This record gives sequence, C-alpha cells and structure tokens, in this order.
Amino acid sequence: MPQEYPRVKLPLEPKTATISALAPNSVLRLDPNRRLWKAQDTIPGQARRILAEYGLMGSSSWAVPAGTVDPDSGAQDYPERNTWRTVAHTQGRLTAGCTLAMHCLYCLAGLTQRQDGANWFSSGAWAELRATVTWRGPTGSTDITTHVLSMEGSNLGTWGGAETTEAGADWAGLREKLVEQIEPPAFTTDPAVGSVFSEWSEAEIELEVRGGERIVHAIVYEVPSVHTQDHNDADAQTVHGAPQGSPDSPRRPQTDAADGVTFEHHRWGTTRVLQSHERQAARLGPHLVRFAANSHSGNDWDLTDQVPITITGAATPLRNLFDVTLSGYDSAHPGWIVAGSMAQLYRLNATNFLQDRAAIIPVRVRVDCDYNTTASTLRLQSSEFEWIDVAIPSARAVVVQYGYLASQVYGDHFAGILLPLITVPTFASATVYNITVEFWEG
Amino acid sequence: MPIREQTTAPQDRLCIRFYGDDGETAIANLAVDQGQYEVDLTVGAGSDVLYEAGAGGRFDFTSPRTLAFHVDVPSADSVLWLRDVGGANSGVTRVGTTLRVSVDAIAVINLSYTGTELIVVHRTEPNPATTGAGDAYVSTLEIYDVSGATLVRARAAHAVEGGTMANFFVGANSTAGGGSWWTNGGTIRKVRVSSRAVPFTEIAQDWIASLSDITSSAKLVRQGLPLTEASGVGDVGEFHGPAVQLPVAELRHVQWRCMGPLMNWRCINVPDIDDTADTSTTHREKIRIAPGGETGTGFRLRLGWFGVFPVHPLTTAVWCQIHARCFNVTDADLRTFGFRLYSFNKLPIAGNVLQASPGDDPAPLEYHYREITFTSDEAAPGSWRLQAVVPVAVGESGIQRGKTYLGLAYAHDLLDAGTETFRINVSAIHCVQMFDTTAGLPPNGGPAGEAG
Repeated sequence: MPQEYPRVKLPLEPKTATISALAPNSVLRLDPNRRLWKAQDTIPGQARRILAEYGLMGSSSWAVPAGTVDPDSGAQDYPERNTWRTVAHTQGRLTAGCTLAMHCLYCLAGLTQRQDGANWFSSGAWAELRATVTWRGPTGSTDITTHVLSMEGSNLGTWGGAETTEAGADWAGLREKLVEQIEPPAFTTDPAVGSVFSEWSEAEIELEVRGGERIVHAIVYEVPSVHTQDHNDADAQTVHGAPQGSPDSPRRPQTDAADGVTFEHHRWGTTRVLQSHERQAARLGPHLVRFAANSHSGNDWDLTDQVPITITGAATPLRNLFDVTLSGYDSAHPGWIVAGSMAQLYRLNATNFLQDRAAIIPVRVRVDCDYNTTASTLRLQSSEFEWIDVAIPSARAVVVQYGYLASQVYGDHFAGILLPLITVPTFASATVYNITVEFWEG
Repeated sequence: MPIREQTTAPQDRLCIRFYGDDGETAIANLAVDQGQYEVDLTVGAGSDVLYEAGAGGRFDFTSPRTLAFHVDVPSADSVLWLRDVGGANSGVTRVGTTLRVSVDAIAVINLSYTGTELIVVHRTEPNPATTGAGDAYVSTLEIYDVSGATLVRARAAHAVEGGTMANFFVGANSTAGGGSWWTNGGTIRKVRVSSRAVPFTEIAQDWIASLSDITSSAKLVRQGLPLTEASGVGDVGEFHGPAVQLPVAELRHVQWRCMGPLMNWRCINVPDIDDTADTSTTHREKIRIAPGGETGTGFRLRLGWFGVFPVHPLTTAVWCQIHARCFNVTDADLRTFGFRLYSFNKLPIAGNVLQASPGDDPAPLEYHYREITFTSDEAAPGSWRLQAVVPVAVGESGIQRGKTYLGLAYAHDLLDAGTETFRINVSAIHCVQMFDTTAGLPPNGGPAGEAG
C-alpha cells in the first residue's frame, strides 16, 4: 500500500466503544480521547441501511402465470425471455466506506417463452434479478456496475413452471441468495478508485427482473467495506483508522497534521477528530422510504417498466396517493413512518419549546413522476404542520426537494405517519413511479 | 458538499422575543424584550413603529434566521417587518392582499392568505440545492389562520440580502411606503426573532396548542449541544467546555444515527383476506401456514407480508405496528381477529410447522413474536393495530448473518366458529429498530473498555 493512501478495512461487526461519562472536576485523561478516535471507526461499520426494495409487499400472487397454459401453443402467455422489466429505481447516499449487497427471497420461477417467427415456444422456467448501480462520488465522478442473480425454475406441472397448491407449500419452497461486493470496479483493490467513492458517495439503484420471477422480497442494502482517502483531497473528509500502536508506543495522535510539501495527512490531530465527528453527526441518518410502485396482477410481466400509480384529476385537493377516497392529512390513514428518533438534531428540537413532545428531522425527498395536461403537486406530509411539496414535472424526471418532516420522538412513539397526498386538477392526470425519503443535513 | 451550518457565534442569539401581554397589543407592551437580554425596542415617533438602530447589532444577521409574528392584519397594505439598509426596501415582509417576502426590494414569495388573525413565519436558511450565489439561500413563508386552523406554505430561493443592516423595524417605516401597521388598524401580538431555522411545529407548540406528553419505555436519543471545531478555549464555542471531552458523550448518539426503519411498507396491493381454502389468486392457501406446530392457534403467516432485513448491530428489538381494516362482510356483528408480528433468525421452512430448515446450517430456528387479539367490524380505512415491541432474532452465520426475517401472521374468529364472512385488509406494516439499554452496556456507560 503506498504511503500516501491511508486505507482501513472496516470491521463487519465491530464492538462498540464503551465510554464512561466524564465527571466534573476530574483530571483530564487521554483515555476518553483515544477511545473516541478508535470508536469513530465503528460508525461506518454499523451501517445496514436498505436503499432499494422489491417483492410481494402485500400481494397475494405474482404476475407470471401459474403454468397451466401450454407454452408451445403459438401464443405468448409468459414473459419473453430477453425482456428486462424495471421494478424499482431509487437512490440513497452511502455511509462512508460502505458498498452494497443484494439479498433475495424467492419461490421457484415460472415459465418463459421465446418467439420464432409468429409463434411462441417455451424457453424453460427460470428468472433473474439484476441491480444496475450508478455510483456518484461527491466530486462528480461516476461509474456504473450491474449485478445479476439467477433464480431456479419450478419443474412442476405438464410444462414446468407451475406453482404448488397445497397449504403452506410456498413456504417450503422458499429459497434465498445473496450477492455481495456490489461496488465500483477495483474499489477494494485500487486506492485511486476507493478514494473517489469511499466518502459520502451516492448510489442510484435500478432493479430489473427477467423471466418468470416469483420474488418474495429482495433488498439492496449497505455493508461496510473499505475507507480510502486521497492524501491531498481537500474536501470535507472523515477520518477512519486510528493509527496502530506498538507496546512501547500505544495509540495516540499527532498533535498537528503532517504538512508535507505537496500534501497533508488526514489521519491525525484533534481538529481532524472533531471534524470527523461533526461531519458524521450532521450527515448520518436513517434511510426512511424506498418506495417503488409495482403491480403483480394480470399481464404485468409483459411490460418493460414499473406499473406506476396514476391519478386522474378531480376537484378534491390532497388526495391520498394510494386511496383517492381519503383526502387531507390524518394520522389514522395508512402510510409510511418517519422513524427518525435516532437522528434528532439539537438545532431543530429545542428542549424548551418542543418539550420532547415532537421531533423534526431534515430530509431529502426524490420523487420520480410526471403529469399530463396540467401541473400537479405531490405533498409528503407527516404531521399537521410539517410537509414538503414536490412540483410534478410534465416530462418524467426525478424531482429533488428538501425540507423538514415530523418524526417519532422515541422508537415506539406513534407519530410521524407519512402520507403522500396528491393534488391533480380536473381533466389532468399525474403518475408516480418511485419515492425516496432520506435524512439529509448536508 | 457543505454542511448547512447553524452558527453559534456570540453575536447571534437563539431567540429574541417581544410579547404584548395576552390580549394587550399596545405598541408599548410589544417593545418589552422578554428574552435574556432585556433590551427593549424603541417606540418610534407617532407610536407607529418599533425599532432598534445600529448596524452590527444583535439583529444584523441574514441566515439562518426565523422571524415569527402573531398579528391581526390591518385594513390596508402595510409593512410588518423591515430591515432598513440606508432607506432601501431591503428584507421586507409586508401584507396587502397577499403576504410577501421581499429581498432587496425584489418580491421572492407572494402568498395568499385567509383570516384576520395570523401567525406568520419567515424562515431563511442556506439552500441545500444551491447552484451559485444567485440562489444560495432559501426563504420559506408560512401563514397560519388562527380561527380557521389552516396552514399554507411557500418557499423560494434567492441571493443573500445585500448590504449591512442599519436598523431593525417592526411595524413600518415611512421610507418603506405603506401605512403604519397600527395606524391601519392592525395589531401585533408577538414577535420572535431566532438565529436558526425554527420548524413551524416549534412555533405551534409555543403559540397555538401544546402537544401531549409521550410515555415510552425507550430512551430519548437526540444530538446534544452542537460541537464544532471552534470549541476550544477562547473560541466562539468555548462555553461548551474542553474541546475534546464532549464528543466522548456525544459519540454514542452518532452510532445510532443509521438505525432506521426495517419494514416500512405502505402496501400498494391490499387484497381481501378471508379464510377460504381457495387456490385461486385471491386467497392463496399455499402461502399461508399455521405456525407453532399447533393448528389450533389459528395464526397463519402469509408470504405477502414477509421479508428479510439487515439489522443494525446495536438493535435488539423492533417496535411494530400495522394498519388493517378488520370487518364483517355479512352483518354488523363483531368478529374476533388477531395479529402476530414474528422475527425469525432464518427461514421458517417446512409446511405447516415452524422448524429449522434442513441442510448444513446447524443453527436452530429462533423466533419471537408479539400478539394482539381484538373484536372488530370497522369501516374503511381501518386503524393502527398491534403497536408492540418485538425482540429480534438475528441470524449468526452464513447468508442469515446479521439479518432478521420479519413476518406478519393473522388469525380470525379465534373463539367463534369458523366462518368465511370476515375480511382483513392490511395497508401498512412498520417495524422500527430499537435497542436495549441494560446497565453495563452502552449507552449507560459502565466499566471503561477499549474499542475492538
């Protein structure tokens, strides 16, 4: 490893640092500081946030037919074998030093078909799940990687691909697979690549399926990997990797950053320690919502893109995106939850006024949507007073908006019920594909 | 990637408040500084304006800043607040048929309002979506109609307000044009000036209605006093104490920051669930089992409400709730329903009983659940149910390592004879991570130890 590229392999499940409270008027000791430096390394190692998700999520069945129709009859009754269908397209910022993994629970797949001339023939029972990840470093560097996992097909039925019918049989047929090392190429082997994407990069994840998929639940989530820093990177870095010590010289920091002729060292000094703490304290937070509109009914396997939610216009404003018979904000209505109890910031949650009865967290929302005819608005609202309005564009785009949402105060607090409320003028329509909501402070 | 800074420099104050006594809106009452500095505003000639002079004074800041007013609107166009930069209309909030926020005499927000008694909040903060100096800041204008109990909100980006602030006015100043607020029949009941971005919920808690206390078995987690680099002796943040000691206590809060929700589902597909033994796509007998090896329990896991989730290393439990409509399609009688939220450390395979999967994974199946039973025949959309803390079972090796498998099971008519007239619609399932604070483990401290 070259001297000028400090790298630390992050522990997968590190022990946490136990840090005693400092009593008043006690002698200042090095110990608490040293634990702080080492304990900062544990923070990226604990990231497990889910950034993309797909599955039944309520449904009773999958779109792929059960395998009771002859696939060699000449007509298309099953998914075309080469067609990929988008099922989710969400984004999120990664914790420093983290990359991704994909875990898929599934039942055995249904049939696929191929076309030869005007006729259709069986192409076997199988399915695939593909994650296409666009990596974006904080200074604008990008890279794209794809990762595929295959799912075995069912051999039941006359032609294969059939489902079982006995009670509970789908549970016995559950399989699972894990794809690891979803990361930019050479991320862990080339420090020049690692230093670009280690620090607060973002991942845009598109999930696609092909074949007769019967996915129960698939997730793409963070895992700690490697944190690499470019020695002359002047951006707002965090430091991970308290220096190793020896028996004669236990771990302790330099008091000044080492300033060379052309670079400075990012690892040591109390200022660097505080910077890392400050940046992580401001930037780390939960990934709250990773919603992708989908349908598992009818012939939806015949599409190449998600089945979005389309709302036609009406005079009533602020109708619930999932159930237009509901309008306005009411925490008794079903929605998501803003589970930000661990990410409350001092500046937004003043004890004097909020009295620990409410919590406000800053968020970034991304809505993949479009409208037809007349401009529409999507409102993400999580309390009587806190919401974020997103202006839906006329051409499909991911609209980014920032603001504040009310959150739970405690993990078991009934609050922060997040409802998507849409206002679509009469004679217009609006379509929503994906919604991402994540903690965002800077 | 800049962090949105909330400054703690000494000249910026967290809150300056001027309140008229309740019901008394006389300008002399409003001039009294209710905050920590007790420096009253000056009542201007003609008793139509309050002001404080002096650039570089305590009001001389642009962002982050929140101005909040509780007012009765006047009958004619008037100025609510003005920062007078040598006579120009800088930083004006004024009311006419609409409330406006102007920056350097340019109207950046025009917002219509209803009602005569209003709470008006003008918040300015750095713009997270800035593309340059021209939109480096964003202002939000919020207007709450007190009698109608409705809130409207608009926001717009703009450049920083120009110049330095010469005077701070509340009410009007003749150079701004428009009549005096008071002369035109308006009143100002409260004024609050803050050097940070204050969410409307905080204003509401103080001026509209107070929320109820919360009871919880959990520990409150919140970032402590903000700690910046400038926290050493002699720095602006020196009152925090010795610079490197506070992060010691603060750090454990940072460790929990990524502990977000596991299952945060708003189901697009909300099928009607009944207990018909039906292989059709509606009912899907094959995706339901009776757990526990005892069919008499009646609880049936359903594949559509099942998933795998990676667990934060510090998580020990999840708080779960579901939104369901449980009702009777035949008559008005109540039916008995039940739900269980399970946490498994691996897939609960094999037919109608929960047992460890065969193969080379030696770990036994471990699971926990919380249950609720109730009677119901409710109308749409239903209600939130269960709301319990479930210990998580976490896999320890192989593909299950660090994961938990969460699933919702339902039961119906546990005490009644089995019928098929019930329906269940589950619209949302939430599982929020929590952790155990047993003494001896972080964050309660305990014996000092070294990090691994």
